[in-house]
Amino acid sequence: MNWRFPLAAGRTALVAAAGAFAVSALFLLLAGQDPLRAAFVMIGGALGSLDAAYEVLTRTIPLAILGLGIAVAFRANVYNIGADGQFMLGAIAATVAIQATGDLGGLSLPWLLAAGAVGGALFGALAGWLRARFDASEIIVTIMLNYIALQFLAWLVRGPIQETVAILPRSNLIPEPAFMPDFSDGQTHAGIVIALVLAVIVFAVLRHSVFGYRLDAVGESRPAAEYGGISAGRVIVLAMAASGGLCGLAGAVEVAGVFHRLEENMAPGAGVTAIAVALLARLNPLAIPFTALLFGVLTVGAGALQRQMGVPFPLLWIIEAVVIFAFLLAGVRRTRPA
Amino acid sequence: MDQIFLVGLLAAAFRLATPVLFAALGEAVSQRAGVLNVGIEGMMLVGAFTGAWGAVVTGSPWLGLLAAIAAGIAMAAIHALVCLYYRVDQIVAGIALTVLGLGLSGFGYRLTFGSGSGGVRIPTFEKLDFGALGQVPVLGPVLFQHHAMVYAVLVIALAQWWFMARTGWGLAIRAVGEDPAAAHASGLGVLRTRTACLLWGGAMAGAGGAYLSIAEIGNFVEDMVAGRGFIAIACVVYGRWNSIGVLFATLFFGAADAAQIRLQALNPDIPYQFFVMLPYVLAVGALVFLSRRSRLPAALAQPFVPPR
Amino acid sequence: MPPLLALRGIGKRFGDLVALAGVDLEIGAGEVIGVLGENGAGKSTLMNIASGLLLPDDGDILVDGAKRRFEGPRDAAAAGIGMVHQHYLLVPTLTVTENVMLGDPRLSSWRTDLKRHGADIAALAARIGLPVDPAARIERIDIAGRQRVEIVKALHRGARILILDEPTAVLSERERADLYAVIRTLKREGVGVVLISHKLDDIYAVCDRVTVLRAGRVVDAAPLAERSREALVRAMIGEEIAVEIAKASTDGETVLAVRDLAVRRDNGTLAFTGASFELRAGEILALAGVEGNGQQELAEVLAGLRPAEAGTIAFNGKPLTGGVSPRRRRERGLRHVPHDRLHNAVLSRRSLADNFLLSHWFDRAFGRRGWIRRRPARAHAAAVARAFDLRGGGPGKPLGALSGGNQQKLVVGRELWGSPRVLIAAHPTRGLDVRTVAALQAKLVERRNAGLAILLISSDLGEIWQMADRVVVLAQGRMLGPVRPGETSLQQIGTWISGG
Repeated sequence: MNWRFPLAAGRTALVAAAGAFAVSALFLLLAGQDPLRAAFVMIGGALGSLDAAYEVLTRTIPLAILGLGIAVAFRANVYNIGADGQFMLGAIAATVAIQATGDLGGLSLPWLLAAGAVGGALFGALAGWLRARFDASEIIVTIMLNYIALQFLAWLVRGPIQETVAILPRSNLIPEPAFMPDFSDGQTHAGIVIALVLAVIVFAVLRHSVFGYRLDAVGESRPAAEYGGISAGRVIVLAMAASGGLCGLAGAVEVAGVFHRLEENMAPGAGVTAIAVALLARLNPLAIPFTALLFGVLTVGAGALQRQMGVPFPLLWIIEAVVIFAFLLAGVRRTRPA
Repeated sequence: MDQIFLVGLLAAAFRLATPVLFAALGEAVSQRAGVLNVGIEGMMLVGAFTGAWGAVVTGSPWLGLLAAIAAGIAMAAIHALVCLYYRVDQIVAGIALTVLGLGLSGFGYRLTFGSGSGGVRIPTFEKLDFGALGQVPVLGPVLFQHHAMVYAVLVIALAQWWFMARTGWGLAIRAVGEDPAAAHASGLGVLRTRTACLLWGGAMAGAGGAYLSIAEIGNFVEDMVAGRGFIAIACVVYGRWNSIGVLFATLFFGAADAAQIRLQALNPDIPYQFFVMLPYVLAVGALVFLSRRSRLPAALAQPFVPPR
Repeated sequence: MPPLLALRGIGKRFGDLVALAGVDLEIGAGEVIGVLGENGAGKSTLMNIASGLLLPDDGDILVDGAKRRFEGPRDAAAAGIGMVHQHYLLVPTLTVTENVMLGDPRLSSWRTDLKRHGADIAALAARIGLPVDPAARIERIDIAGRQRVEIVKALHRGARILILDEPTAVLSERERADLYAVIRTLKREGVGVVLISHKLDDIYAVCDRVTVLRAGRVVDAAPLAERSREALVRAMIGEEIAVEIAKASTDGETVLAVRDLAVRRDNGTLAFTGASFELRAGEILALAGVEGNGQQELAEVLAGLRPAEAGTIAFNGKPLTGGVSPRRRRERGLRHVPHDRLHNAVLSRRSLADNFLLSHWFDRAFGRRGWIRRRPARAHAAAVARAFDLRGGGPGKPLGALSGGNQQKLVVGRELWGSPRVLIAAHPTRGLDVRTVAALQAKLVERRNAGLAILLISSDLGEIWQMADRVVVLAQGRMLGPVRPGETSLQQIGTWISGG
């Protein structure tokens, strides 16, 4: 892997941007739309008004936290594609926990968030353990767990956790003290603070802690790490636990900050977008809030594009794919043999 | 009651296994040659959409199938270029391909079909009619009332087994996946062989997706592949990279899938979501309870750099 | 009559390294040419060019007098050039017949007729004097058997020139004699044979002419009859670096006691059984033997990276079972320089300090309460760099940017830091330039004198003779010795190694 040393991070971003523009323009033309007008609608839809800016911020928060989770796993050479599933488990754990204990006053929110992190961590650790112990591909396992989590959530919100009036597939509201403090009359919430603080914490842990050292060592060369006395199996499980914990925390934050209850489809496709977020940041935690913001803009912009010009929303995923490819190819130049 | 249940189950097993089998057979060849393609989910999606759209536009399901195969090949070509010639990380490239497939199929769908009005009429394949054979008790419905593509994939499975085990091409593919340095020194074209295998994998994945939209379901919905591409990869491991083994592995999953649908109806007290989970849980189980290390193609996912 | 194969003015560079320059070589039908040179002289590179695996930067290849350009191994094979590589290029999971026919244009793309081909192969092999079993799988065949397969493969493809790269390195005495007989048979049949070796015995056994390579250039080329052994050795080695190393007494306390050790290879076969030896403080015990006899596996067992099949190990009097993790062993003072630096010992993208930490991350000096303290790590890494005359490092520079020799200096220096009791050094000087080799050897001897116990694994008999206080040999599945260099001869060790 060639993403550890951001020698030309700027160039990667430029290549990615250029590629994304070119491909998007192509598909827009295919859709019979004017690419230039589309660009304006996208930017305007995302940044043209204060309301839109708040929406961008709100969308950025889960992407940033998920991106941090994915970066932690990828740095250990463990491909966690299960961010969506861990997100769901985190949201579930958070909701169940706070509804079980009820109002805890000032401790409600921390309790909810902690429960979410633990829920996601256990789900992630499961995949990590299966990989470490049985050499079961974590790619397949985490993806399968995504579908399992999806069904589990679907059952919960139609069954045991469903709201008392039993009309919609969702839970009751969580107690008010567990709400995340919000800004601007509910248009965005304090999760942004959590995301930024986490970015710093994750960076510090990865760079300066023994755990971070072991994780990066295993990710770069498993045989060298084991030679140095590092237990690769243990690191893999812990990395997946940390990764799942962060993704689960993202779910809890969405429950506490946006939905105030457990629902389905709380962050559709975020788990995959977060992969692009992490890769574009070259797995550097400090860069992730910025790349998350970029994709937040793109996500809101794509929504505006669909509403105002009828351009299908999946264009966003095409752009994400192009970004990942561009990132991969831009890194190639540095590692090809002379 | 039991016999009807069983017959229905087995018949459904073949139907449900078919798209997975298409994808898994193609992936088995790719992996045997040493290339990992986790993007077959995206290829199946693109195949499903392109097949449906092609059928609608031309009025013929056959042309739709052809379009789907071409689309699968095109996506595989991207994977080949990026992984074999530029030698990027094969796993991340595969994920990107899946995302691309999601995007392309979703974009195309909303642009053409999904303009609000209820589903477009897709010209679908008819099931084959074997006449009297189809009326034979038990075996009739199980074996003789399927679409042509179901029989096609079974034949392909057998042909692929013979191809890999008994032909010179198959030998070359196996050598390239086990020890590309030795293969190269013997004069084989490693990159060419791997590219060909990837393109075959793409064609098969496209066909598998097309089966869903223009034969089995007769419609296109977003994310209709629902993880079958990844289950196919689990089947490749479960079947030990052997075409016949893969055939049985996918039939097993098809049966499990068929069973969970029926078990839902039979057990209305148990929430149906737990039955829907079943194939995915089985996939995880398959990966866990196999010591695949012994038979993994030794050079899988390792880029080959010819010495210069 | 033009020679079968002529190489004129061949030059090859790998980045800054000049591997070959202005090399000429000619082989005629029925001739046996020896290409002599030390490790790293460029012999294999030259032959990889002749067999199409590499492209020359300068010079020409002429077959039967006509200039040819080999785009790949297939072209060379079509021109009648066959090569038997030092590390066999055979696919382990396929059979002999499948391997021999791999890439052969006569193999049908469709219905393979492996039985018929197998019969042809067996007949050819028998005629030459190299029995092979066409249906056997390569992974089940021993090293000498694999060599026979490679030779048969080249001949079956119609090779008129056969290149053998260090063929006797892994053979026993009797297998070597068989190989010489085969070469003589091929000579009679008009095949031109090129024998690459660094061993004079091989050259004198079968060659008509000899070419000596040193540092990528031809320093001598003549009929063998006109050269004495001494003359050839002088040509090979050039200036002699004869460092006289004083031997140490070997009656220090026993630090490592191994009894009846048996170890399995990855492919399931037993590498050796019943190995017993003691390693004492203040001595260098050399483990000699041809690669493939279990030396690597032994080192991994001692380091805790591989389970033993049978036997006991005691370290400082306490038993070292499989349950003692590699980290624990390091903490107790058992260090290890592995044989494959690139894959197993370094983090190429990390700095010197971070690579230094690879062996010491659990040490309280560098990690307190879960946080890494990089400043002492940087300081100690810098100290190691100074002590070992490490060139090319700089703050933040990735280790992979340094030359192989400098990387190895860090690896060895890192393992020697602190107060280890035992160092297992597997091929610590392999592939390095002469000056680095001398520096590393000096450092090891210095630490030996200070009380360190060193198990030196090496396939370089000269190095073993120079450095070892005692020698054990792994060969034919057994361990022989220990003996002292003063009490026995190099010839005797060599005989043990070749299994005579």
